[in-house]
Amino acid sequence: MPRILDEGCQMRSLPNTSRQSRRYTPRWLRTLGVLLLVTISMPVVLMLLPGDEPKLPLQKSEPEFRPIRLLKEFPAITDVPILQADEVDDELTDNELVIGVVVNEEARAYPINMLTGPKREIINDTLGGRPIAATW
Amino acid sequence: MVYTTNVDGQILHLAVSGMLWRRSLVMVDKQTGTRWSHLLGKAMKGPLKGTRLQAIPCSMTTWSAWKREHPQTSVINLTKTSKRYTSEFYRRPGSFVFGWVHEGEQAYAAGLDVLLQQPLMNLMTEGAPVLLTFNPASTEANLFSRTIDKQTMTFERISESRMKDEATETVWNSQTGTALEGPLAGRQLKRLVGIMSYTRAWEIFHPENRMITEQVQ
Repeated sequence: MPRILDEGCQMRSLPNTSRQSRRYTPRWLRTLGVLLLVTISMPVVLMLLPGDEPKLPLQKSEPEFRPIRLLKEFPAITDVPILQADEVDDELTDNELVIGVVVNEEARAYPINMLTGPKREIINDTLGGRPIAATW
Repeated sequence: MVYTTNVDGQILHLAVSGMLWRRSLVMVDKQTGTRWSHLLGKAMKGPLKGTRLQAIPCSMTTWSAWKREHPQTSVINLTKTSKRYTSEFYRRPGSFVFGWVHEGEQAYAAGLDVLLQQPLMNLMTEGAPVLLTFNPASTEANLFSRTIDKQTMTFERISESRMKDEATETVWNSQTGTALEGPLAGRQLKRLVGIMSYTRAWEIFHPENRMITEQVQ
């Protein structure tokens, strides 16, 4: 909100205070009124402008969620066996693709050849002390 | 995509729901039965509807490249369900894109064919300066913010995994976004979330997607 009052603003008494005093509106109140009027009317004016969309922060319309079922629901995969890099044999070849993740300085690879086929697409795991799900 | 799965103090176990939405995986959590969009990371129906999971930046890369960057890494040990996902798989340009969603709103994607031609791109998306790097050997793509200390950095590729910034000539690892030598040594670019996807799947899921074809500078 813009500052409307100056510091040290004081009501100044007007020279003619008798008849006009009943209808007297302090200047600061008038300024406030004008500013409020402007603030409220701006969006209304913008909405009435032809052509353009209103420039208010509107909610982006939600996409409709209509999934189709192909298969029954699978169990969640948890407690996956883990190997250290030096324990891995030649079964995992150098050029095989993995999803690599680092959490809190702990690194782990999820070979994509272990994540394919509907059953394996989500692996629940804990890495760097955080519960995660690696998905394909 | 990799997500953090604790929501309001509860750890969710996500599973394959067997359903598809916009041809994309719908996940279900076993704790509440809520259905989640895999690509959005958002609860679409059920008790947790509207909740967003926090996505963690991850890299799709080769096992050898990952081991090199992270010698202490572990790896999960399940039987293989496929043999085809090697770096060769992505050598068909045009079928794949590296895509991301800027601040949950605007989707962008760069085709693999474009990345092979321009393995480092300084971009400006929705007013945000981002850096897209690609290593053709490992087919690893990464996305970073180009802002450090409120300054926008511009990068230049030196080699497959090295780049330098124009302002200070610091040398950086273009896969990890870590500064290695020079005035900014030790600094880390903020990683952003992006994924490799089939082109068509990405376009179907993100009808408003904008394809990136060249860098801004």
